Amino acid sequence: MTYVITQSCCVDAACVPVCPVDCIHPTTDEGDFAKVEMLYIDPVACVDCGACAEACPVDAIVPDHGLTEEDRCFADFANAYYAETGRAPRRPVLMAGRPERADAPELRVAIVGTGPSACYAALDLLERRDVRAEIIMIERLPAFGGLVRYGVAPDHQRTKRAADAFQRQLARGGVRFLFNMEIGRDISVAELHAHFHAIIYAVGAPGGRNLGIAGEDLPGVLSASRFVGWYNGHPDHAGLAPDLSGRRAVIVGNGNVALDVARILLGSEADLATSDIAAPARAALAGSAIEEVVILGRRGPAQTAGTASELSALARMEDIDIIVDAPPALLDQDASGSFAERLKRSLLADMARRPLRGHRKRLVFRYFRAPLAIEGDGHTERLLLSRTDDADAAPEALDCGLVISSIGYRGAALEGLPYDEARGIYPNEGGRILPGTYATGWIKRGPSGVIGSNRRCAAETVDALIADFGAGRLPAPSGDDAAFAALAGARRSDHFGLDGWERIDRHERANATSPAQVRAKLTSIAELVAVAKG
Amino acid sequence: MVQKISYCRICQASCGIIANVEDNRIVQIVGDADNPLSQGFTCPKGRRGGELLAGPSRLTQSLKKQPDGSFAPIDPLVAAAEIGARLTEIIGESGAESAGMFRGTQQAFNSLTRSIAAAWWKGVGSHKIFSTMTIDQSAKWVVSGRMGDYMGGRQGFDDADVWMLAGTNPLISVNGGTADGVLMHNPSASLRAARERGLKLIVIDPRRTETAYQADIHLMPVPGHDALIFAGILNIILSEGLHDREFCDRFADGVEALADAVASATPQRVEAVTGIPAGQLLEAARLFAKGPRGMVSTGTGVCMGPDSNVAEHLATCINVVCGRYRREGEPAFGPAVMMPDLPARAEVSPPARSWERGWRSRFGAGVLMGELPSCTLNDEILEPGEDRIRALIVSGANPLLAMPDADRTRRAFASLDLLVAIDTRLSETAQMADYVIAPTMFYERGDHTMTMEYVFPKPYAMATGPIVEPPPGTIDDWRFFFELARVMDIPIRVSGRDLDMDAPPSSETLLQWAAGRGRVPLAEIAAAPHGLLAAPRQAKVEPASDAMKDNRLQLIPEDVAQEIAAALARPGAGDGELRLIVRRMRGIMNTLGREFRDIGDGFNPAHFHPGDMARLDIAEDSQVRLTSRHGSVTAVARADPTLRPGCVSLTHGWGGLDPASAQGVNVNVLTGHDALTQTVNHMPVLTGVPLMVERAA
Ligand SMILES: Cc1cc2nc3c(=O)[nH]c(=O)nc-3n(C[C@H](O)[C@H](O)[C@H](O)COP(=O)(O)OP(=O)(O)OC[C@H]3O[C@@H](n4cnc5c(N)ncnc54)[C@H](O)[C@@H]3O)c2cc1C
Ligand code: SF4
Ligand code: SF4
Ligand code: SF4
Repeated sequence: MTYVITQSCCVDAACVPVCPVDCIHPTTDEGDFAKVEMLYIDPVACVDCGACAEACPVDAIVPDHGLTEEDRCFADFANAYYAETGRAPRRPVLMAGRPERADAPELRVAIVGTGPSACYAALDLLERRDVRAEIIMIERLPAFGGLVRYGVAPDHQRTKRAADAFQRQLARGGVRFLFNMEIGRDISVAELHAHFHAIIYAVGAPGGRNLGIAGEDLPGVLSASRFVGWYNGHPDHAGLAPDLSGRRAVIVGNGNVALDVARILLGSEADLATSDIAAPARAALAGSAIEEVVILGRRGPAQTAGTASELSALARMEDIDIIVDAPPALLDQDASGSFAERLKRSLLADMARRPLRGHRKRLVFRYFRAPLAIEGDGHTERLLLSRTDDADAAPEALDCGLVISSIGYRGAALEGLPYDEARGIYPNEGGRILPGTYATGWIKRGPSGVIGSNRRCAAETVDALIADFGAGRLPAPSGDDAAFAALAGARRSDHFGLDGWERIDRHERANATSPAQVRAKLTSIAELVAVAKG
Repeated sequence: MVQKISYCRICQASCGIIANVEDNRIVQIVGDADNPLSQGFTCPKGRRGGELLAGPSRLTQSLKKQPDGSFAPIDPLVAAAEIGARLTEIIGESGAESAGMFRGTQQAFNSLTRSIAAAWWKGVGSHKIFSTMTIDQSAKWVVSGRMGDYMGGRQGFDDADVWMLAGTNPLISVNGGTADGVLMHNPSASLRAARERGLKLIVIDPRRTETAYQADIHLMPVPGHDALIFAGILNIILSEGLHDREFCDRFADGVEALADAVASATPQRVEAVTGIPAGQLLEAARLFAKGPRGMVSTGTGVCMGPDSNVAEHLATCINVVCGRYRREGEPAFGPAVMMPDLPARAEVSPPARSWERGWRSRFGAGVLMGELPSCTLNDEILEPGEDRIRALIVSGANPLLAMPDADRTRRAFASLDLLVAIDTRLSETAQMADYVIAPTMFYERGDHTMTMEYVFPKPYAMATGPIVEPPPGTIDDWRFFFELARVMDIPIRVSGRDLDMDAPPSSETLLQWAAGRGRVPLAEIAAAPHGLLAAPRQAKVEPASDAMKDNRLQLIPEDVAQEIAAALARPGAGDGELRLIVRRMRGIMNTLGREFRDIGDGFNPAHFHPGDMARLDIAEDSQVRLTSRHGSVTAVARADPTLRPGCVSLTHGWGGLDPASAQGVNVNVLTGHDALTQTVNHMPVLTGVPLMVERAA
């Protein structure tokens, strides 16, 4: 037997330092780790101790005999990876050592957000030995986890367990929480700063980038951020009611979010059985008329932005037809690019070769196409496309009732903080906006990277913060805990702490509609608050 | 923060580890890839060793029961003085036999405790010594007592062509059969390597275990008929003449009689009772017999099942008739490094039948490997009689949980005049004790691997110092026993030396003395930080000595013949009957480890084949009531498609005694003594137990 890393890997590299034989690669200092899609276990060197599986926050690592049929391909991926890269000599196990300081000074930090980057920042701070961090995490929603709860696809339950792991670790560390409290609305940036040495903004990128084409405001045109929020039960998007009555939906962009959306649109009710998809979305999708989902790529198949593991999730859908609008041979012959890129192309080539079986639903990958305009009489009827590989070609019209733009997320400005309009981020240097004001996660570096990418991102931010603190650049706050609690209470009476979230969590789990389902999500602020308040 | 190299002492595997130590706490444990024995492997228990030492349930001081039933701290040396005085008093009144001792697995992984406790016990002069062995693997002792032992050594795993594993899942239990050391060290990678060089693996297990998954042939029987399966295999081997005649002629008596005794176990009969297809049994038997090298080894699945003594006996007979032992002139196997290098000889040490000679208890139990069967402990305490046990010392064990019929054990313990538990936590047994002695734990004491050598597949040894300081209120186990001896005026002789009872030696000195006659000097071993792989022994298996050359293995003595007949006649399971089987969790070592965070689900689910769940209309995660003829427990049902239909699998040693406890179910409630209890070791049936299953309200 050997252990295998599967689909939910979020590249946080938590497994790497616990492997006694150093057989999980690439490691953070090998190659371009920032671009890595997932890690692979060397099946020859692995001694099957299972240490990595215990360290993995998303249960991505399983013994090979525990692999499901669908996950078998991941064992092949690992074999292919090591066949190609060979085996690096084992490095001695060196566990991270941190300096100790018994009389460490207290450092009061507020972290805005409870998404992955906020959690990693808090965990990193808790591990520091040179300060005693007093941390409060402030979240505008009455729910924990940011995009893990509201972005990650509802059928990726193992990935969603990352939130459970964060919650468990933070609860152990004694971090305090303030849910249902929005910075900028309920408490201003300046007020917040008066109570803490430092603030880490981990507010993510809530909006979608615009297509910037005519007809974008027609009903039937949605950004992926809203559509994803809708099926995940985000209170801001729970009432979206997208129009699923047309036969064809077009997704602009072919990154992982686009692939998630396609999978949800094409999946059967059975595929969603174990998911925690919001109940209204489940019902709407069950009555959906959509039979074809077209995924548009501006560039060629080799540049498909989604990862191999998400592509393989689509490839494993048995009851749909898949059309890849590219000659398979072209995909096979191209030997350029990284291991992951070639793996992706070979998956696309396999999909392209898959015979059509006349299923009711189908998925079409189209390439070298850009949207020109959306047309329709009061609602979306067709999308006009141009060819990016042939400037002279006439525009092409594609009939469709739904257009979902999935060309990236975008941060939002917050009053009192600088904002880089062009990049949609808070301008920063290694996480430092100003001494005392920091950013991490998507609002710091832009909307890319998986859950685990935020770990190193947060560590960098915390390094900057600790350096400023050490250099005396963070004056003692004027308000203390009691003052902050009084302020919060004066602004809103319906905020709550970890116990409230735990009540919601228990309530949702207890109300799952079938044993296979993890939870039944509450989707309105009022319901969430009511349960939290017990 | 500092990194320390040591080895884990939770089980025999003795895995090398690297520990991150901060403020005298072990914050992380990683396998030591440079350890030549374990090569980086550790299991979840081992990696949580730090939690065991510093967890909230760790006892950091010794306790004395107060009149109101509460515990108050006591200095361990003061406690020893009080206990010693009380023991002396009780022995003065009722004789030495009124004192008893129960030893647990944890004592075995601490080289000093065993010898000092044994020396003290010798001075006490009581026969009433018990251990978990007799509710676990003592069938192997019984086999050796009735058949005798071949002294040239068993064939090894490293150059085997075929191996048969029955009722053991070494990839999880890290133990391919006691005294074999097979697949105990870095088990998965070792098995992979063996299979790559061509080893054929046969696994007999009612579950498609992690190990069975690797097998060339997996026999998946109805549990509880191991004796019949081994008889069936023997029948094929002997009737097809596939056995090693030369070895049998030279070393074994009773091959013909054995052939007759197993003649009824035809492949068809085995199929009818166990569900193993006749063709598959034939294939397995022939593959094994073809060998030419490799053995059958058995684990708890066999040793805890019905007819365990016979089943083990027949399994050993397979090894004997196939001659899977080292012959004269072959390289001798012996991992001895710190142990003296004793010669291996191609001769038989005759059956000892120790239980038929010498001292016998008033319940007719004789001594087996120096011990009495644990299952007679309750009788020894509760039944009136001149030598009734009035005082019991429990060392590193939790018999209240580990033995069947916990209610009776509780009554027995409550009736004692003195109960002393040496335990690192307030176990169920310790809670009942008058004194609880809090010992130091591994990583807090120095030790070496000498007493584990017999299970090492290579000549390996390691010595370690303490890597953290023990809590100030604890005491080394051996030191406690030394103190008892001193108070009771009992001289202690260990490693050939009489100790000065007024000046206890240091642990280091004792460890040094213990290894004093080793093949490699201790200093050399201590100088190898990751453990030492010594040069292989050059010795060859020597010819039989004159005194022993006429001894032969007794394959089928009279009592065994009768037991075989009874076992082979047992009917199979009724239609739709469910049977309990044992299961090892990687996180659990007997009763140790239940309190680890993040292990398993935090409870002990009952696993069913999905087909059985459908048939019985049981939903995943719903509560089911399991009832045997001994008792009844409620558990959470889980589907496990790797099980053979008809099996319910639960982990042993789990759960508190409270049936409603969040830690879940204690399987021992379902087991107990009945007509199937074995002779000699009084071993009850702990696996293969028929169960009634219903949905709980
Ligand atoms: C659709 C989708 C699917 C994804 N799937 C995966 C996947 O399968 N695997 C994977 O590894 N990664 C996945 N990712 C990526 C992953 O979710 C991100 O890397 C990660 O969530 C970014 O973390 P963050 O903390 O920066 O932002 P977020 O997770 O967005 O967290 C920001 C938090 O801040 C809160 N907040 C915002 N403003 C305020 C304010 N003013 N006051 C208080 N609180 C505020 C928000 O409510 C939110 O909870 C996916 C992303 C998306 C969009
Ligand atoms: S199972 Fe152990 S050896 Fe294998 S990859 Fe995981 S940590 Fe490394
Ligand atoms: S999610 Fe993290 S711990 Fe799990 S496999 Fe991926 S990198 Fe390793
Ligand atoms: S197998 Fe586990 S418990 Fe046994 S020695 Fe190794 S790490 Fe320790």
